[in-house]
Amino acid sequence: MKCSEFREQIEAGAPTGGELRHHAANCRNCAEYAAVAGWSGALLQSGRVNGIGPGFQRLWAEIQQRNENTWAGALSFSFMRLVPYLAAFSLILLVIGTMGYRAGRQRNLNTVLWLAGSSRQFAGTIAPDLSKQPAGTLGLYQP
Amino acid sequence: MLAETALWYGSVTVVESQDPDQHLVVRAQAGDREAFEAIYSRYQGPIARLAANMTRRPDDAPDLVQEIFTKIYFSLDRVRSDVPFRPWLYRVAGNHCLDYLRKQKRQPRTDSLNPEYDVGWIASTSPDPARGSEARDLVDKLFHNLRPRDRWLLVMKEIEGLSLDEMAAITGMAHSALKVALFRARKRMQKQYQLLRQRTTT
Repeated sequence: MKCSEFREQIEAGAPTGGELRHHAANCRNCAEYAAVAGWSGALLQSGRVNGIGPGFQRLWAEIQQRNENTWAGALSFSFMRLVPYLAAFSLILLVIGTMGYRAGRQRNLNTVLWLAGSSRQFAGTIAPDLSKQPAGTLGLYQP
Repeated sequence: MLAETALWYGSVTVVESQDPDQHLVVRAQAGDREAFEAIYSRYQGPIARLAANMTRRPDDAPDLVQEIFTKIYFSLDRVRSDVPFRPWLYRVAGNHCLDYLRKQKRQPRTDSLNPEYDVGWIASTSPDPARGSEARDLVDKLFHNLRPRDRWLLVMKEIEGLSLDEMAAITGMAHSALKVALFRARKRMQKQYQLLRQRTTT
């Protein structure tokens, strides 16, 4: 029997007879291990104290009070479990929204620039040459 | 306790783990008060005993148990379905008591034993229930000078009677490390006992 097996069996509360006794007789360390374990177990069993918990009503009242005091506690567990997913979803929406907004701004700017460019061209094309006399414009002016 | 059922299907062995607390935990996670009450009534006794023995203050046990179970209630959503509930519960309770002990002001005690006490019987391995109050007083004094973690290990093993497997699941320690830690804790307690006896005789 190995020392580790011996100690496993001592911890499992195996009766110290037969093979265990034989091992302890030949291994000083394991003999000490068993003696100290026996002493400690006997002492703590004799010197144990009993405690009692409060009634469930008192515990539940405390839980309810904490629930009211914390905003997170007001949320049900099922909703609480959704919180990380909701946060991730909100973040994705925020990223998409920001990208969309930037793209939209760029498109609007392009449109404005395009319109501005077109109107200048348009204005240059059909604006009347005010330096000419009306009759000249109509082709009636004969210098 | 984790119940394991091995089923043989042709060439495939299926190990089915069934935690008896799991259905209660799932219901409690959904906000079912009765399920949480069932968990409480199942475990409040052992947890109260653990707290009373670790702190050696039975009068503080109701408050400690209330704090522990309040913490457990608000942490239920973190309990995974594939992890047994009982070791998790003991870990939360043990850590709470360790925090409590660390917060206590450590005042070195120079107590000696009551000279009328005959504690020689402790050398024998059979506990004597008639000497309960003497033994309680002795353990109070010995525990006062023990490290909180030593107290935790000793209470789980010697008083709660947990197996090495359960203690390994609770503490996250390997069996070999646990055996060494238990042996050292016991030796430290024994040394305290010898010091106390020397002080008494001198």
